[in-house]
Amino acid sequence: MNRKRDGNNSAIEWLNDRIDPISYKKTSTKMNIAAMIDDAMIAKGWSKKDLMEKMGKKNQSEITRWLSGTQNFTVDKLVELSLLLDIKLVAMYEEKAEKEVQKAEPKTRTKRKAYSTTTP
Amino acid sequence: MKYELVKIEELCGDKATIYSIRLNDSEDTLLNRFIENYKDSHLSEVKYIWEVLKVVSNETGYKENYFKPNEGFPGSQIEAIFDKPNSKLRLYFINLGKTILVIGDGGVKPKNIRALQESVELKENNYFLRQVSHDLEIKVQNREITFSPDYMRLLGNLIFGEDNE
Repeated sequence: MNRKRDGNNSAIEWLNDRIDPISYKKTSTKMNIAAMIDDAMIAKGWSKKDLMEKMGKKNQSEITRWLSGTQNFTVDKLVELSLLLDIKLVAMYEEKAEKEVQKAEPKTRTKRKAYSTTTP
Repeated sequence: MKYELVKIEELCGDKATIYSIRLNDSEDTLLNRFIENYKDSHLSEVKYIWEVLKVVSNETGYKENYFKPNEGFPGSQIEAIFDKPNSKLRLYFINLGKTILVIGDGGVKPKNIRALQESVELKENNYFLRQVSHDLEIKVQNREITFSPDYMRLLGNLIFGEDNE
């Protein structure tokens, strides 16, 4: 068995070539959200039961599902969790909003400056 | 039975390293065999399991809530990856300190059975992995196998069996 240490993985290569990037991104996003919630709970020292009570839930299995990486969260739920856990779960929207503000700021300054030069 | 642990290069990321098992003189790993066995009948489920492994190795690392724990005897660290939400397929692995996963084989768990022992295929694949977990533990105790300083790689003799050729 002194062959190379990496297996002959023809089916693996076949499968890897057929992964749809959009499908992968969906799986990845759900798993990353679950990981962020889990990390925030650890940082706060919260158990699943703690999160269940703070979210007004009665069934711990719902929290287990949230942490499983398969939950398709609503925006409302993400906002609730973000505020409760002090994390950004809707970062795409927030980053976009920040960029819009940054884009708008220089124009405003220019206009004000131009205005000030024409007024005594 | 002689076997060897082999790294799956496509699943060696910054967060975790995934190994599988090559039996005897077979060219294929057990992960390769699992994909080959189920890519026609359960392609979407197999794709999902592959995506999960890629995310774990490259992005999030191991998280216990992603997987089904306690699929072996106590201390064997065997868990299962399963497609969701239908949860028909099981793929068994050994969790070595969260940064190294050793993937075995799996199978379909019919809805009408509760315990894996009720399926010949699942039992055979799961019990083989229990043996691998036991063998691995002995080699680690004997320091024939050690961990890299970042705990991301197994170092030493990864060949198991009677003569360790």
